[in-house]
Amino acid sequence: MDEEAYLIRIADYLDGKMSPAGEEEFMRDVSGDAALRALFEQELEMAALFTPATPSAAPVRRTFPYRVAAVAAAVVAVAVGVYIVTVDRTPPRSVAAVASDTTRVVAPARPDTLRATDPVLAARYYQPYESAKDPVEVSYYYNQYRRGRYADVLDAKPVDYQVLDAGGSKNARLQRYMQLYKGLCLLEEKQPGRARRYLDSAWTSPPDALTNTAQWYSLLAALWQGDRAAVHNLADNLSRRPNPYQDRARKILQELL
Amino acid sequence: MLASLSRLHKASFFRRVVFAQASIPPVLLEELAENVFLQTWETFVRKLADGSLIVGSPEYTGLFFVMFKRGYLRELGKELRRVRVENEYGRSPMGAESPTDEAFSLRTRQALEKIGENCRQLLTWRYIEGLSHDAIAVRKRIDRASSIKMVSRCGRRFAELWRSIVHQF
Repeated sequence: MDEEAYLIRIADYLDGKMSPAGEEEFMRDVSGDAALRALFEQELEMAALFTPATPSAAPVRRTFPYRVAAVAAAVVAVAVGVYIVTVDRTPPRSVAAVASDTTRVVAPARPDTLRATDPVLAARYYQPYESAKDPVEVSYYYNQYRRGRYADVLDAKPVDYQVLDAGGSKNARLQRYMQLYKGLCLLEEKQPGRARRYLDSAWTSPPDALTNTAQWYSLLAALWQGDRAAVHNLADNLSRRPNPYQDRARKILQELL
Repeated sequence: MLASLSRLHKASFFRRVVFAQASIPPVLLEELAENVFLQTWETFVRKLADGSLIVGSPEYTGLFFVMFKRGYLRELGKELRRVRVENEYGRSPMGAESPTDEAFSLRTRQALEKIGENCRQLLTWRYIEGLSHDAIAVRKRIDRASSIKMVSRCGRRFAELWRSIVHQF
């Protein structure tokens, strides 16, 4: 295929002229054809040059719960609106017409958004983490998290906080705390997918206090993502053993049932 | 709604925008798509709530996908550029790409000032106003294929100018 044909395909894709199946096929071709991919990436980079400067490292934002709550309220408003729009408004049919109707009657699907949606629950239960007995070696990073200086925490490397003359278990524990802090910072920056990866790596078996905390925030991240399976699993785990989050996990389970 | 949108459509939406490449690992691409998906949802809901977006029917997934696709490709383009800059100049000691982003805008403006009037107009329509090639073709009174070729040629010229400005820094 010559370059002109490639350019036309790229333009068709970007201008929304392809069917969903066509778009999937185009993505497969881009993955497999280096020349097409190079042109496509060039086009995307060109567009990026004209994008206003908006750093992807989000500015310090300490109002996560408030913003989430606002979004959650909007979700509920939209949910109610969509429900109103989707209510059956067809005129009533005669008894004879109903009796002669042999089509299978299917109960209309009720939108599940009439209950609290997952982000609403996440917003209701989210509170920034407050240290109880965190190791003093990582207190600087805890304080940076509390001050909203997330980049400092996210950029920290093991060499920055590990203790030279400490044993492996001590450093492993410090690393787990840092994973927790990084996950918490990413939650504040509204990146629940990345947050969960850090939070999940802070767990141990059998669970300790740090695991309980990391699992609790993983649960909130999963709620925010709408990952119901993970939410059920984590809430079930936390509700079965004594820990500071047990009651809240139970309530979430009840609300999701 | 978000839960059902994720369950029913997210996988197919991702297949329509995510492609394999060498410079960004698949796990990061997926993460990028996840984040853009959530951000798009947030924007979508906010715009519906404040009345700046009106959906005429309960079927909203098509519109949502268009917003998601635009957002994802925009973020991917920025990420590709960031990776290229890192490969060429090394990682910024500041750790974030914001300093270079600022410079990109300045260089972009300077390159636009240097390029010819015809190309400036075409690039502005395509990349700043976001016009389709159909719309550009109507404005320029040419056919769509010509618009695609002309914008591509101007893009290359622009990239050369942009790089020359980088080297002056």
